[in-house]
Amino acid sequence: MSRKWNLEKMIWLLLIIVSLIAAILPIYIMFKYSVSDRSSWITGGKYPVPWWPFKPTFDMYRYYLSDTRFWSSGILSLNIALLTVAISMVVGAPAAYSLARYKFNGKAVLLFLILSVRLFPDISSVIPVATVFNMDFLYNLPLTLKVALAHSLLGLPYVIFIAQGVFETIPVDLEEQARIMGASRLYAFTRIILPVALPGLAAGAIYVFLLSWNEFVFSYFITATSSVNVLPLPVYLKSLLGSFSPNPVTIATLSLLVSMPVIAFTLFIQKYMIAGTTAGAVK
Amino acid sequence: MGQDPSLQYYIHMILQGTVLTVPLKGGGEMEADRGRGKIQKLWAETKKNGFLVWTLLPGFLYITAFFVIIAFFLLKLSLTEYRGGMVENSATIANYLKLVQSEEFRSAFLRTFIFVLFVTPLQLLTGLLAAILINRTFIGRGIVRGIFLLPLAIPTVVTTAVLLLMFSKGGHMTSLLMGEYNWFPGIVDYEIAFLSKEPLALGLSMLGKVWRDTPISMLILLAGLQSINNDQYEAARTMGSSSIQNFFFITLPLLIPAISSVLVLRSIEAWKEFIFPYILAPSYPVLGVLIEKYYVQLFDPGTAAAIGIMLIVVIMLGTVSLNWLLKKMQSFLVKV
Amino acid sequence: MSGLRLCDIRKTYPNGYEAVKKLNIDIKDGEFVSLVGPSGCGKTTTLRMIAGLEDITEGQLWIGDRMTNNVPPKNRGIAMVFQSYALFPHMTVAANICFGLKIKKVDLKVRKEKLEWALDLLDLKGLGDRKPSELSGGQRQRVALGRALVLDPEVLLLDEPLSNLDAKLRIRMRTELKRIHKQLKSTIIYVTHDQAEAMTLSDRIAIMKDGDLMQIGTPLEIYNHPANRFVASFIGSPAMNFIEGELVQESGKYLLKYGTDSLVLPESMKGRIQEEINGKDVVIGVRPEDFRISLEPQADAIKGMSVVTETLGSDDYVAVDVAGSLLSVRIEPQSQFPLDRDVYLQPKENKIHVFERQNSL
Repeated sequence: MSRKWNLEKMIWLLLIIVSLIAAILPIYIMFKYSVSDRSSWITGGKYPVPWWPFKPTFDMYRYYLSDTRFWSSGILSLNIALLTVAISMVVGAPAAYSLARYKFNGKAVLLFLILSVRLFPDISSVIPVATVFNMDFLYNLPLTLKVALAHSLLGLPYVIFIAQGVFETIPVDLEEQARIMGASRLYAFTRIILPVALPGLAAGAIYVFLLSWNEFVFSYFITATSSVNVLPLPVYLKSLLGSFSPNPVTIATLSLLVSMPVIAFTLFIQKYMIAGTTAGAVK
Repeated sequence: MGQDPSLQYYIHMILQGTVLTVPLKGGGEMEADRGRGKIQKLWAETKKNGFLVWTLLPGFLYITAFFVIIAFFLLKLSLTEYRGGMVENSATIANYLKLVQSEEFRSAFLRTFIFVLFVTPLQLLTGLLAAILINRTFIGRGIVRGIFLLPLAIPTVVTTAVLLLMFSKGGHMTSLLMGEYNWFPGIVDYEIAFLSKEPLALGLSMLGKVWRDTPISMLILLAGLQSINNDQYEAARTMGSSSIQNFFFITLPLLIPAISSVLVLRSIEAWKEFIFPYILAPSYPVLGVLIEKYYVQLFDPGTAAAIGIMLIVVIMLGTVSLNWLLKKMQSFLVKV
Repeated sequence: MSGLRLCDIRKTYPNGYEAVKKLNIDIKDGEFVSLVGPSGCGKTTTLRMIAGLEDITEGQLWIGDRMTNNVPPKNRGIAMVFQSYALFPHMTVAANICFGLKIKKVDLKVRKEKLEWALDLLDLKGLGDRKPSELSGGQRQRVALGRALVLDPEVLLLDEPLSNLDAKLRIRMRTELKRIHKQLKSTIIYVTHDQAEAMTLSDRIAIMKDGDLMQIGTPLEIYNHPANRFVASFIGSPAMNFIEGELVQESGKYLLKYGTDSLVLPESMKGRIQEEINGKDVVIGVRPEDFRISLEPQADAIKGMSVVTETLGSDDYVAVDVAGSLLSVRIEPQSQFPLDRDVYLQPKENKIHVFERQNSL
């Protein structure tokens, strides 16, 4: 039995290492470029690009962290994301609550409808959405709100799904007890159910935040067709890529600055992400 | 659809038919009576469950409204002909005719089809591998799992930016293949232009997409793996089954629901793909990129919408045929 | 079919937990041996070590005349039925039963023969094409059994196979298992926490607690001559009555002093006491059916008060309060025994068990 243990375990270990390298490689490259000095990426064919810069420097970071355009993009993205979370949660959580608690005919159809919005290709559905937001009376809304509303459209099905799972795990007894003691449905919901559901809902909120922060397509289309000075981060990044001979250090630094919060988030909440998936599995 | 694994697993449950059971009311009533009675019943229910309705309404309305708007607008837009950024003709199928005859559209369609064909099974394999690797208990499992999830967390634009850097002229890959690092042998003696040759550029987008989306299929397959009772493996062990036999006789058959979900969901995603090909292979557009071209660059939302509608139709057809294919395969496997 | 030998078997987990401490059991060919004990006593661990699913930390395992410590499960000549049955849900009953044969690359014709034999033996005829989800609990259990039996194992291992069944089915399946054992004459090792099951099924019973073997013997041996208090209290239902007290010698006789009373112990026990008992702290045990109960004062009797009666139809039991604890005494069925009266209990002469109190466990 010991012999088998060794061979199988060796293969497993080897595969794990290879996979880890594959997963981390691009991130490493990004990091490496972001701290490269000039000679490490301008080689002019004289020598290959080194895997580790000769004189690593954090200059680019310093530059961007003091670049106002970067900060305004960042703050814009942040505002959009927060607003998206707010809208999605405020609209979505109560809806999820109803779906979790009450049985009625056609419930499955309703659910399917809610989910089907996300079945349309982003790239197709973005046109009418962008057009809607470009219509007269909506055109003058602040950009943040427009983009946040669009992102909420993407995030709502999410929130409803996750929140529904969370509410279903809370026993009905709590509300029934409250109702017997005289609380109205609304009171029971806000004062009793919500606090209990908070951790699970937090996971949903984090999802939506990441979704909005990373969202490119919808942000791109809505900002491309309205005249704006400040772009959300992913779009800003893309605009740099379009310029001639992109400076890798720039791109890499920006990329990392955009990704850093996300990476930290993910490593931290990866437990919840697994839980979120398996919550559906238990159903 | 965005990269939302839980949502996709939920859709997976629907596809398996576990959720989509619409309860039918008991019969015995005449048709006309049933109609009238339903409305009255609905009103009574609404009054009784005021809270339920008001909490559900905003979200439901918002989504359904946009659903209707999207469908309607797209359709209307696609039937509108634009020229020079101005509406020329409404209610015409000129856009569709133009597209069907256009070489550009047909090659974009072909490219997208190939993209889907390669990306979908590849994602399944990498996801399966990752799920199997993660399925043991070991120290540092949480960290490894977190790292496996990273490709999903990074904004797609960032991933494409990195790929651009790695594969552009003078980047790491070209140097690697030319043997300019002494720990790797030189395979070619010229700089491979990854970004300017069509198959290579598209291949690069496929690589990026598979890399990025593997965590999703991994999560779905992992959930499937963990639902298999460990006792079965032990019983098989006492009966002499090797690891490989275990995999084919026990693991694989029980994973079929998860596998079919992954295939269906990921193929839908692949049809819609935009970002990777847009940045890495802009001169060889897939359907998604084509839409952008017509909408943003050519100021022709009509044609863009028409492409969009055709894409949706293709997705639906593709999904239905994939479903059919999977069902056929499943019945075949069960017999064996 | 072969015998089995566990020599100084020990199982220690990496975190230091000793699940099985120095186990020595000799099982003869064709014997039905039960491993019984409370949860956590190590019986399942022992079974899994015999199967090869757990490593043996120390000691030797002999199956037949081979030492099989490091032999993989499939080569040990064992077959195992799991508590959860572990049927393959996606395979039919026939596929489940033939699985082991298929792995061993047995001829299709032979597989079919064995399948028929198993379906017949276990009363599963006609169910070959069903899936496990379409079967009842009892049927599933028999499929699991069939899957193991077709492999012609030298030793058949059963891990609490009846614990998932309802009470009536369990009793029926007990008879089935006995019949199969008689017919196939297989060596069977049976793990259970139900002492009644062990008593009715086994040729011999091995009682375990906290990784130790408490006693091994035939059901009657264990019932009539339990080695220690634990075994005495574990086997038999309703459980044995215990009275704790001090052993005292007075005018050549042994007395048990309990509370404020004392009981004279019969002469026949002298030898046993001198051999087995050190010290003064003892506990004596008497089974409910081994008391004679009387409303009149008796010599050499335990005095108590009748509290409640239980009627089971076939037997009646009266609970007697003796110095603060309740003893259970069997009485004539369906007799209306008077309550709240002074009663006198006389233990039958050869039926008093005595144990050291430290040994009590």
